[in-house]
Amino acid sequence: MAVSGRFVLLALLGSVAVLVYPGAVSILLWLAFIAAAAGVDLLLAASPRRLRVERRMPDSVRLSEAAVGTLVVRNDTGTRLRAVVRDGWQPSAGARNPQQRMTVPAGEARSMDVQLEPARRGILKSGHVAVRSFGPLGLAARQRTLPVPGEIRVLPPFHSKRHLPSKLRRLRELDGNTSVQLRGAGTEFDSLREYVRGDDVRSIDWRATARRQDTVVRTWRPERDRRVIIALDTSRTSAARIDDEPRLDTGIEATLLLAVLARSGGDRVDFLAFDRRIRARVDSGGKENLLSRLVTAAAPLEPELIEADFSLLPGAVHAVSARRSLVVLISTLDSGAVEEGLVQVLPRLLEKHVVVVASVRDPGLDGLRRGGGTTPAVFRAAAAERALLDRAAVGAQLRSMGAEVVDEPPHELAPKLADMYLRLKASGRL
Amino acid sequence: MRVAAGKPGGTAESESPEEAHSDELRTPAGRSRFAGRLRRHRVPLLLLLLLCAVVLASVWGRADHDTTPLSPANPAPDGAMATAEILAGQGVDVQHHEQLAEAQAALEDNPGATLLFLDPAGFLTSEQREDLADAAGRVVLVEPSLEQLADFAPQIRSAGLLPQEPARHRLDAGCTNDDAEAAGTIEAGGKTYRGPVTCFEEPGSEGNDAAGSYAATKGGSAVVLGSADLLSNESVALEGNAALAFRTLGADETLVWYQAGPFDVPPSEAPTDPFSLLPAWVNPLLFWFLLVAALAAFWRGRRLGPLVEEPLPVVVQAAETAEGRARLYQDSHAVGHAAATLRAAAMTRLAAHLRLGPGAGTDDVTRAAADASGRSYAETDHLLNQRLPGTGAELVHWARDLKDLEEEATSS
Repeated sequence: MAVSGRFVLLALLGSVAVLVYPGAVSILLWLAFIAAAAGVDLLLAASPRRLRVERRMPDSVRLSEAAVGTLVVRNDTGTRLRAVVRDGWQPSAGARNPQQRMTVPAGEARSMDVQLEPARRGILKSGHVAVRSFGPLGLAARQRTLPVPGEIRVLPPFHSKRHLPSKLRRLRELDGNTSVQLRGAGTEFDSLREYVRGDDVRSIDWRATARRQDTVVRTWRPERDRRVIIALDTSRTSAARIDDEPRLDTGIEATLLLAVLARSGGDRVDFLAFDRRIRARVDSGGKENLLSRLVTAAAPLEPELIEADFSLLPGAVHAVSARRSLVVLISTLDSGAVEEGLVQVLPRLLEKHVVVVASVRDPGLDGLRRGGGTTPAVFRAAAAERALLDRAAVGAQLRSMGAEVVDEPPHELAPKLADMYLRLKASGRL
Repeated sequence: MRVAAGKPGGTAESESPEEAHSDELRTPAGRSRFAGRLRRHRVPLLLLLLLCAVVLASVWGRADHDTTPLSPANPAPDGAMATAEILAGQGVDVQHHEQLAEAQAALEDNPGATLLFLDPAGFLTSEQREDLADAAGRVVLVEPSLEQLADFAPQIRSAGLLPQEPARHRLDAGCTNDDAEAAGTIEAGGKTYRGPVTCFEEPGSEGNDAAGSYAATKGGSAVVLGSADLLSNESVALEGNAALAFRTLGADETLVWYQAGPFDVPPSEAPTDPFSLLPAWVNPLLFWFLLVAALAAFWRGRRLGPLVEEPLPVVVQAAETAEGRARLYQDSHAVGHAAATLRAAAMTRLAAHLRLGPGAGTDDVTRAAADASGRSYAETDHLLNQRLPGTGAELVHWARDLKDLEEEATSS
């Protein structure tokens, strides 16, 4: 039950009657009149209970892009439906026009488009559709909330895509596909071909030369079909907001760039997100496009306010691949979290794998560090220095154990991690 | 609904601030903090107390102090305390009453008493005045109105005002009344009256129909004094004012000094209800508007569908831990610790920039920094290794010098 502004106006009109014939009688009569009018209107309104509402909408949308969620309202009642319909999207779904007026003749169906501009990554939901069905007089309405669950997966935006062309070019240079043929670009034997002027004499294959009459050189290509395992930390340290972006989102960006790059480089990419348990997993064997599977898996990830359990990492990595792999751990270098967890398990990982630890560095600390002039500012500078020294110490410790460390500010992390991958690939350490 | 909470490195289960606060109040430390706060705000608190005391004292004094004109308890210039005290000193029983019932009871207890009737504001009704006139043997009126005269002394009539300039006139008795003759000359302003006996006539109005400041009935059962000046503290001592006042008021053993007040106003019929003056349609219309307002509230207030909840993600500012640590340093005045950290960081950066390698000692870095910045070794050594700050101010200067050194050494 709901009333319209028209009903309130009708009631206000009653004040004329009360003014002309003051007294209880005119009040009661006018009350009876408007109540009767509303009652008739309610009786003639289409029952919202008997409507059938369906959703038609895309499964997913990239953050920063718009989507349209369509509601189809089928009117199975015998009367015409005049209604205000509201789609109950959560606020961060950014519904521009969730509430719309619609008229559906008896026995027909009409659709209503809701423009969505999601404000945040994740799975955004709408649990219900509320219908307010007015009678022909437009005075009173029957209202009902219908459970029509719907959700849309808002995928990470993959801003780091813009770094991809330059990194791919570097990869192709390694691959020997370009005209510039460099000795040592790659470590895996590819083929034999005739010697041409300008080739490095050290690459002449003497045994093959002896078999043929020509001078033959070996060519190399970068190693292929290696495994890259990206482990993304979703524990409490990933909740930290650096440059207005949570560490987790920066990690996802870096993951996407590295995965696409490694895939183009012919490697097999596995992804897992973990804190105290595995939160998401994408394996290299799937049929679908790797990028779409990755963004789908990463979309619902959220920082959990619990400590990461690094001890599950060796087992998880072993389950993915028993062979030598490149393990990229996207986590943090905060001293407390790493010293207790990562440092303990790193030797076990390093026995078999190449490990890269990637971390987002806070540029705010550098700003604090440069402060001075007042006592509080100097104390802040000292605290920032202490944090930076601690990070440097942890980084040095990890390096001394044999891991590679990438510690960069948010917008630098993805390209620098890609560079690290290219460097390792070029030197044949995968 | 999850909201922004938590802090990297902080414990999840910390006490709520309210609990911590109440704990603090219970402990001796909390009490001493309260005492400290009291000491710090000593001067404003004292001033506040003083102000309260002054206000209280003035209110108290005012409540105790009679300010009614011609009141026997009022020592102000317009009071009549002097007259009453002197009369009492002469053996007259002065009974001061401010309520009609008390005055009437006093008159009945003392038959033949003189009633001094004072009602300049006209609180009493005609019937009340007549009752009072019946009860009183002899009545003295001061500046009575026409109605009061009609009830107490119908033979005496009002005759107007003495000229306003000057405020008081010297008037001679000019009649055969004993009291007036005893007074001789008075100095008074106010009103004039005509009666069977009229004295202190207004200059220029002598003759048959003269008006004066003193009028009385033939037997002296009612006396009208034309001016409060004759009784008031300010002017009772002028000329023969005192003689006239004392003789008029002190004629009997008892003087009932009655001052009418607002409490004597008789309860009249129920006052007219202002709402009864409104037109008949106002109440129904207001009721109808109320109804329409309720309907409008329902119209606007009815929500279309339930509230939708938004599961907010956890948000933590990354530099929060550094800020927290800075505040810890500051609260514990960890100047030495902060300086050591700044020095270590500067040394590390200098060593890295000057390519000294991991094995370089303090002295190597100092020497290299001195070379790179162009300063002397002694000066650099003093800054880096000798002159460690002890106070906050020193720390600020030292940190600035350290930064300067670093910039000089790394810019070249």
